[in-house]
Amino acid sequence: MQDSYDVVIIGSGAGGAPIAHELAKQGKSVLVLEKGPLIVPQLQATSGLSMFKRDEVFSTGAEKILRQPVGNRGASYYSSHVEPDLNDEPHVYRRADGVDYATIEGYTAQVVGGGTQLYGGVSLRFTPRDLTLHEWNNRAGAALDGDPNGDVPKAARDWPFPYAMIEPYYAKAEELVGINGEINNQHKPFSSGNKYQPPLSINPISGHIERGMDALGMPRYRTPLAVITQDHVPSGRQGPQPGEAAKTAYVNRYGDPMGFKSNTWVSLLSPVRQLPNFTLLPNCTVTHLSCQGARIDSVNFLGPDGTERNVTGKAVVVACSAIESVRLLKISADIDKGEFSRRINQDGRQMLGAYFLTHCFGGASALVPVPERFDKSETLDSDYATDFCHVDDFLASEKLWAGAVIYNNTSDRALPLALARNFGSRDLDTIWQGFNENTQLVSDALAAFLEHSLGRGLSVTFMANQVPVKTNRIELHPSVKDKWGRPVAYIIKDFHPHDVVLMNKLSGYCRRILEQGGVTDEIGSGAVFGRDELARCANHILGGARFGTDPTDSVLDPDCKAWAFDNLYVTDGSFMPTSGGANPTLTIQANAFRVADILAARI
Amino acid sequence: MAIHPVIDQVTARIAVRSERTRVDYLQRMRAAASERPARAGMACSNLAHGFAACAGEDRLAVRGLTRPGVAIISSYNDLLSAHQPLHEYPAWLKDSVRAAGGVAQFAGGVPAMCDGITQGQPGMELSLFSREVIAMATGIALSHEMFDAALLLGVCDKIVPGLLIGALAFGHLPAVLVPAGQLHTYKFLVAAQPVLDPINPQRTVLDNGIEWSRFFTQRCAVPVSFEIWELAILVRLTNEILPFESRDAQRFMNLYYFTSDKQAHLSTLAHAYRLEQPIGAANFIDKIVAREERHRFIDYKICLRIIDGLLRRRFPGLTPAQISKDGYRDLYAEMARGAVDGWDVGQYQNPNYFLQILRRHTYMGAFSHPKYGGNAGAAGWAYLEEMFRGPAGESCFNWRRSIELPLGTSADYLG
Repeated sequence: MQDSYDVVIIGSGAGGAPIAHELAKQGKSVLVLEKGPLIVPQLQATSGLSMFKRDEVFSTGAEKILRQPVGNRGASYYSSHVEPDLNDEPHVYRRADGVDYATIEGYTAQVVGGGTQLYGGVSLRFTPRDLTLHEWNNRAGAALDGDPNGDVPKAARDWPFPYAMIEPYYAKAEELVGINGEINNQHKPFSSGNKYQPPLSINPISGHIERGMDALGMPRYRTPLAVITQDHVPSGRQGPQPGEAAKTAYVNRYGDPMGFKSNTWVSLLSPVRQLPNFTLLPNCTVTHLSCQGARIDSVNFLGPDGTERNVTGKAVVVACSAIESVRLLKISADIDKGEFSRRINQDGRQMLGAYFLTHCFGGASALVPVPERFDKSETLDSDYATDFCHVDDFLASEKLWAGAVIYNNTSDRALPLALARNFGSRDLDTIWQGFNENTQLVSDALAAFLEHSLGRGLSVTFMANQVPVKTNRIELHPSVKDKWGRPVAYIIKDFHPHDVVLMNKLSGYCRRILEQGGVTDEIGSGAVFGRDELARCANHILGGARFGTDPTDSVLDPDCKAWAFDNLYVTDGSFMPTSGGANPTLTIQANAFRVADILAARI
Repeated sequence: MAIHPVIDQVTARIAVRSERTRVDYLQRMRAAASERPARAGMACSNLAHGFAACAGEDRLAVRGLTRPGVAIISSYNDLLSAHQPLHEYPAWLKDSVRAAGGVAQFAGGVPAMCDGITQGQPGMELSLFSREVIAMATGIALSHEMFDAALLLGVCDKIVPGLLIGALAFGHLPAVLVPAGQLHTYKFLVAAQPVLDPINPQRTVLDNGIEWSRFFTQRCAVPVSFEIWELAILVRLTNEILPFESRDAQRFMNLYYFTSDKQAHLSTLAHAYRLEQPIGAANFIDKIVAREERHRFIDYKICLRIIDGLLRRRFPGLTPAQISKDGYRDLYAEMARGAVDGWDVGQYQNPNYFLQILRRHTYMGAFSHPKYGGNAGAAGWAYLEEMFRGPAGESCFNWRRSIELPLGTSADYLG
């Protein structure tokens, strides 16, 4: 095996694949190391069958019992076949009561393509304002609700470049990844043009959302989704024929056996897989990095058979999702407490792992009137989005520090197992619990439950910036070990009071959309805190190795290079100094394309 | 759907090279086909022998010459573990065919060899030859010319090809292979010593007391976890939980299994087994506690024994399978309350905890993909499709468009 490359990339998801794609196409020698297996769509499978299935037992599978020495030991959990097994490699979360719990994040996947194999595909840009929150919150006359000590203006950060700098990379990501949507009414400039494929027709149930958003004067647009609706030339994929055939409720939290969902394998890695200068090694677990001075000189990993191996790269890119990337760097510093530790920890400023972020997330949910129920299994993940809550005037009048996208979900509770296992559950961690405990749902009452719920659920979600707080952080757990005996990630996190104010206001807007759309039956709304639940701390995991212009206030420089290293880059969501008012994947991809250009010029 | 060009080339070459014999075959088959039930062309004395062994309604039907005749050919014997469900199939199939307006007769048995038993023995040398005998025996059964269709019962790599070859000799008749799933035991040879599979945790102890590694296939209907008496209780309990007891639901289930149109019926029956259980949920549980949720096997073992004991005490002289619906309804209600009269809390503390496991498994069994052993013939999905309608009367659960053939209608997704 070749043991030195131009670039070694750890992780094949949204942060790693764009760099691999670009550099491989430019003739650089590229190695991608991926912890999980390679699962290909039907057309690439020698058997003709994909190991992703339209099968509800695949997305949220059989019960497993947690055996880790934590507070929820003995609890049931249900994970997809490509999610990390909590008994092998858990993330441990410290709850407000100080008790440690093993967690599920929901969209972390150990498979080539990473989380993009499981995500619903919502592919939104951040707004120009999302990248300039320090400037906005320190403007003359700025005022916030729920920030009595004035923390937020101090905590807010501008990104080290303006929106205009990343705009061409957004366009590049939209074009190469393969996304359908529309730019009309989006509150972001599309100066490089419209790269979307056309959206499919809406699910009729979203008619309620049209009416609700229109009544509230919210300019709406079709939610950009990473699912191709026609042939996609850049990746050589044949689209669904007809396009509407792509609609199936087996999208969000399912790998796609057809390859229509634009995960990073089918869109970015598969197109370069035949190049002699491109190597992908699935089933390889990177254990630690070693350095010689400012240079990472060895990426140490376990091969599929468990033997220790190592490779070198002129550049080393860490992109194994925020929590695992920070953990890998901390473990490397633990092993080499001298040079590596000094350089990554920047002489003890404790920035690595700090400012861990997720999203302020929540919304509203209700049932449409029975005569208006529709087949929700004929859908993609979302139909309509609005940037109403992204506009400066809105933020100023509501006294909020940052904006948010609001969009509706269409594929939730579309299938029969999902209907039962999400019944009464707050989130992914309480799967089946509500159904299990309500033993009255039996026989005729079970028939009535199906009559009551099938085809009726409609929900609206907001995705908003979380205030960065230094004590929200990723550490190594002092005692819990993974199956290789390495310390697992330890997540310590809470919400700022302003986050709570923001979530309450935004969930109110989500609720009003449903009410104005005539959907009021069993309406409920609120925030998903991810702090009281049995076992979940985050939806999107971001921050922990943020970039910036000041080495004392960031882990990475504006190029996403670790300050005190010469060839170490981090390009998953951990680079983000603020979490953006939208789902993060497209921004991670756009930034990775940006870093690819920087690396191409350097190598 | 795109087909790889090499497959097209190979197909075309086979077509060219086999043209002479194939045309000959097809001409023979065309000549053999007729518009009416095949036995209608028979002499009276032949036909009289044909129904002499039939009873009741079937006897009248065979004599009547208008209802189609279906041959059942089975390779059942007591030696092949994978064949055990086939033991009861002929009676069920006769009932189903009768309800669908036809008449089925058990036309012949064919031999079947268990390689597991003959492995390494002289008998193994007959294994491949058995295929030819099976083909011949199938042909003999069908040569009665009483039939308009054939149901072939058998699994494994000599039996299915043998049945197929025999049936092709009567290629003008539609023939359906009725699946039963497969259960296999195996060991690895390491340095000439047989050893258990160190990865697969599934084990089974055979009658001779020796432990083997085990696996079963998708759609397997062979009981792998439970005894017959345990399954009988499970069937009644899952019945109690599922929403298929109402009159509407019962009417739908009868419709789905027995009177759907011919094309739909073929694809339904090809996936229907363990019909004595509603939706096959008990079979699903039998499988999930053998594999994905092995940790729950012990809960069932303990609780089914407790339930068996307390039901026998409550209803002296009756087996749990014979107890009325009220008996199970009461038991369910007590378990839901967490207090069951006669429950041995020393053995299992909380009956409500077991009920929660059972309910989740039952629901999964009714509505997960049929390959897991429940949702027989996708009847659970079809129930939702049929019962729930949108504003224009269209179904609110058009599951077929996403699911592979022959169960669903997606031509592109292959499962």
